[in-house]
Amino acid sequence: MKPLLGDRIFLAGAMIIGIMLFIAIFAPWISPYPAQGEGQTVPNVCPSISPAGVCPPSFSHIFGTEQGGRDLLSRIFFGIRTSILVSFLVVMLAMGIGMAVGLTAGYFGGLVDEALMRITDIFLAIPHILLALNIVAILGPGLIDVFIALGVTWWPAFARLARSQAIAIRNRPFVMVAKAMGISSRQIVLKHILPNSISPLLVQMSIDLGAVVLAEAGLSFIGLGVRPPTADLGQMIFAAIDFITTSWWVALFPGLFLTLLVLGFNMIGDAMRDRFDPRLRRQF
Amino acid sequence: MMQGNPLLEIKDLTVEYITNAGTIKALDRINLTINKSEFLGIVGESGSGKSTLAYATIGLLPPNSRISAGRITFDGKDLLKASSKEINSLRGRRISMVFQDPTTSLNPVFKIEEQVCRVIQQHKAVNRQIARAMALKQLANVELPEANHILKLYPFELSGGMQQRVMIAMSLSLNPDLVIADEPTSAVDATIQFQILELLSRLRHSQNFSMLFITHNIDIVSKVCDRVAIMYAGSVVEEGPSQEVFSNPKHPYTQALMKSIPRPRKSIAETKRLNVIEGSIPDLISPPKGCKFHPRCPYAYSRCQREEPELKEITVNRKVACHLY
Amino acid sequence: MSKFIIVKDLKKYYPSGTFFNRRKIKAVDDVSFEIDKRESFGLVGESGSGKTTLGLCLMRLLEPTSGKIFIEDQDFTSMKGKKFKEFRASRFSIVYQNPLSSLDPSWTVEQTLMEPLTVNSSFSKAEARTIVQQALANVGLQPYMLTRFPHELSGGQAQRVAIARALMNKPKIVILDEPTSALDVSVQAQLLNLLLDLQERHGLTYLFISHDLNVVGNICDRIAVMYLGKIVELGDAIELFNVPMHPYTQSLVSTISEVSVKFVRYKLKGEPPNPLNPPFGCRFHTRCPYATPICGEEEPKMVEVSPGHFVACHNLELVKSGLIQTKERAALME
Repeated sequence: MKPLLGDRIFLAGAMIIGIMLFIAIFAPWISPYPAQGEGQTVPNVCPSISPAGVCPPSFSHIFGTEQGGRDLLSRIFFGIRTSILVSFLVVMLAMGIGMAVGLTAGYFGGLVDEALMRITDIFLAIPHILLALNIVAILGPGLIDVFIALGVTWWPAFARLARSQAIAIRNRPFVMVAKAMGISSRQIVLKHILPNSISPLLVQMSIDLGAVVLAEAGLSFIGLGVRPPTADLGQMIFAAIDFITTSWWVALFPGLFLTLLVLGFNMIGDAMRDRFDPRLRRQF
Repeated sequence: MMQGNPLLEIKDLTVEYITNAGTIKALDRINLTINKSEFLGIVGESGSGKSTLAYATIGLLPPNSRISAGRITFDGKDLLKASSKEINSLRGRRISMVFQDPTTSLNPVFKIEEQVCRVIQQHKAVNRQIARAMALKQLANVELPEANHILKLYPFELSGGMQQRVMIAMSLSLNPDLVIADEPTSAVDATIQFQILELLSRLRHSQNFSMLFITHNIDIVSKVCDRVAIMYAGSVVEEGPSQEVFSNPKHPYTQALMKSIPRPRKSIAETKRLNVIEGSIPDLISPPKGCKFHPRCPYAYSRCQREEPELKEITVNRKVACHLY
Repeated sequence: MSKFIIVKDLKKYYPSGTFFNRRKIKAVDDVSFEIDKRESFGLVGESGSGKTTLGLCLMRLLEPTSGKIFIEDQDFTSMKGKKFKEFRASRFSIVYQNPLSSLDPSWTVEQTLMEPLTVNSSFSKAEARTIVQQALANVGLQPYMLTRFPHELSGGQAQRVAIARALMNKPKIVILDEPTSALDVSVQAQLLNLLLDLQERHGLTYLFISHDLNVVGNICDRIAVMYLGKIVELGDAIELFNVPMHPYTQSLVSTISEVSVKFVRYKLKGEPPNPLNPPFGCRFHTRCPYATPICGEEEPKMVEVSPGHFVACHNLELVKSGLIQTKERAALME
C-alpha cells in the first residue's frame, strides 16, 4: 500500500475523490441551499435578467442558479451524490455478478465454462442505452431504471476478467495441493482463486467507477435516467442546452464537476494499474 | 598461465542497491582481473553479488543501483566514466553477454535470422545479404545443424539447447574480446549442458575471447574455467586456478561449500546426510561486523569479529580473504 | 506381502495434432515399477522424460490414461469419488519445486499450515494452533514466521513451510518434485538433511523426482532412469552409479565429476528428440553410440541383469564391455 500512497497520481486522484465523497455524504449540510438542492421550487431571484430563472453568479448564489431558480452549487452537490451513489452501486453489483460468473466459469471449465460464457456474451452484446429504453418503457424512468440498465450490462467485462484470472490460477501448484488435500471446490474458489484474482478486478473497478458516472450522466442526458426534481449532473447539462449561449454557468459548472469526478476515478485506476501490473508481479 | 595486459580490470568496485528497506551493499570493494583468452569463473550463491558484477561490467544495472566506488577498466578504457555512446558501441562488439534463460533473451516474435542479423548490422555497416552470410557462419560455428533452416525459424521452434547456442552465436558474431555469461547452462538439460561447455572450450581456442563465467555450479566451473573466484555476500573470498581451488580449498566457506555438495554414494555404509553450513546468508543491509562469514565459520576467532580480512595473495596466483592466513 | 506401491503398465497420453492428423504425446508410456515402504525412490531424467508427469499420475493429480497403481494392496486407480479423495488425502502429499508458486501468495504461513487441518478433522482453534506451531518447529522455523507471507521468506524458508504443510495430513508417501532445484547449494544441503530426518522420524516413503543426479545418487535407495516416457534403467542407486548399464544412464553419469568411471566418457550427439515424434523402436537409438539396426525397429524389453537391476536395451553385451573401439564410436568421443 505504501508505494501506492507515494504515487502522485494516486494521491491527486484520491484527493479529488475524497473531496467528492465528502460532498456527496454531507451535501445536505454543506450546501448553501439544501432544500433547493433537493428540488424545492423557488421564486425567480432575477426576473429582470432571465424569465426562466437562470440567474448569473452572485453573492447569494456563487455559481448562479439553474432553470427554475434553484441554486446551482447546491444542485451540483446533490447531483454528485446521485452520481456517486449510482456508480458505486452499479459497480458493486457488476463486480459481484461478474466475479461469481467468471470465477466459476474459469475454475470449472468445460461445459460450465461454455454455458456461462455464452450467457455473458449475450449480455455483452446488449447496449445499455437500448436496455434502459426498454426498462423505462416498462418501469418508468428513475434511479431503479438506471441501476438495472447499467448493472445488467456492466458485469460481463468483470466476468471475462475474473475468468481469465481463474484460468491462470487454477493450475498453479498451490491449487493442486489444495485439491490433493481434499479441499472442496467451493473453498478453493473462495479462499484461493478469489483473493489471487482480485488485483486486476480492483483496477477495473476503479476505472469503471468513472465510466459508470459518465454512462449514468449520459442516460440522464437523454432523459432515460433520473428525473427532476432529483439532482443529476447529466440531466443538468441537458437542461442547460437551451441556455448555453446566454448563460454559460449552467452548463459549465455541472460539466466541470462531472469531469473532475471522472478524472479522479481514472487517476486512481491508472495508478493502481501501474502498481499491480501483472508483468511486474507485484502483490497487494 | 596467461600473463600480460589484463583485458578487464575491476578495482575496488562497490555497488549498492537503494530499496525501501534500506541500502543493500551488493558488491564490496571487488578486485578482479581477467586476462586475454582467459576464462574466469565466478562462483557464488544468492546474495553473493555475482550477477551484480556481471551487470555492472556490461553497464546494465537497474535504476535503483549506485556505483559508490571503484573502477572498471576494459582494455585501458574506464567503463564507468565512458559516455553512453561509447558503452553502446562496446556492447555487442567487444563485450557481449549470454543470459541464463534463452527463452526470455530471444525475442519470440522475430525469426532467428532477424535477430542475429540485427546484432551484426548494429555494429557493422553491411547489407542484409552479407549479414546473413555471417550469421550462417556463426550458427555453423556453434554446431547448429541445418543453419539455413534454423534462420527461418522462430525461437519457440527450437529446443532450449539450440536456443542457447543461438545466443552464444549472437554473442560471438562480432568477435568480442570479452563474453559475460550469466548462468548460461542452468536452464538447460544435463547432457546439453555438457555439449555447450565443450563448445565454449572449443570456441575459445578458435576465436580467442575471454569469458566471465558466472554460476553457482562448481562442477561446471572446474570443467571450463582456468581461474575461479568464489564470492560470498558481496566480496571475493578466494581466487585461484580452478583445479587448485577445488582440490585444495583454502577459505572456510569454499571448504564448507564443497563438502555440502551431494554426491552419489559409493557404498551402502556411506551416510546420506550432507555436511551443512549452519546459519544463512547475512543480511546485506546490515551485514555482520568484521568478516561477513564469521557467524557461520567453524574457525572464527576474535579478530574475525572485528576486522574484515583483505583478499591477499598467499601463494603464487592464490588469493584468500581470511585471517587464518 | 507385496510391495507398498506397485505401478503396472502406466500410460499417460495427451491428444494432439489436428483433426486430420491425430497424434498422441506419449508422456508416460508403459511404465512399471515397485516401491518399498520407507524407501527413497528416485526418478531421474531430463526435460521431456515424463518424470514429473509420472509423479503426478502416481498421485492421480493427473489421471493416467491406462495402467494400474496399487497402494497397500488396494487398487488405487479404480477408486472413485469420496473414497478416492479420502484415500489420496490420507496417503499422499506433494512438495513442488518452487515454493513461491506452491504456497498461496495471499495467505500467511499460519493459514497455509492450517489448511490441511480443516479437512475431515475437528480440531479446536487452539489445538490447531498448537499443531501448527509444532509443525513449524519440526522443520526448523521460528514461530514469528507464522505471520509472514511467502514472498517475505527466503527460498529455503518457504520450501520448509511447503514441507511442513506436506506433513500435516500425516501422509505415508511424499512426492518430491525437484524440491531443491531452485535453491542454493548450501540451502539444499540443509533441506536434504531435513528431508532425511523427517523420513526417519515419520517412516515416510519418498518419490524423489529430479534432474540432478548428484542429489538423487546421494539421497535415494533405488532409482529409475527415464527417457522420453520410458524407464530405460531401474535399480539400486549405488549399483546404478557404479555400473550403469544403459547407454543413456552412462552418458548421464559421465557428466558428474567425481564418479569413478570404468567406461569411457562420451557426450551424446544430437538433441533430445521431439516427444510428439519419438524415434521408432528404441527411443534412444538416434543418439546411442551402440545402436544397431534392430534398435530402430523394435522396442527393447526390460531385462533383469542382476537382482533388482533392470535395463531395456538390445545390445547389453556390447554395452557391458563398454570399451568397443569401433571407428564410429571413437569418432563420437571427441
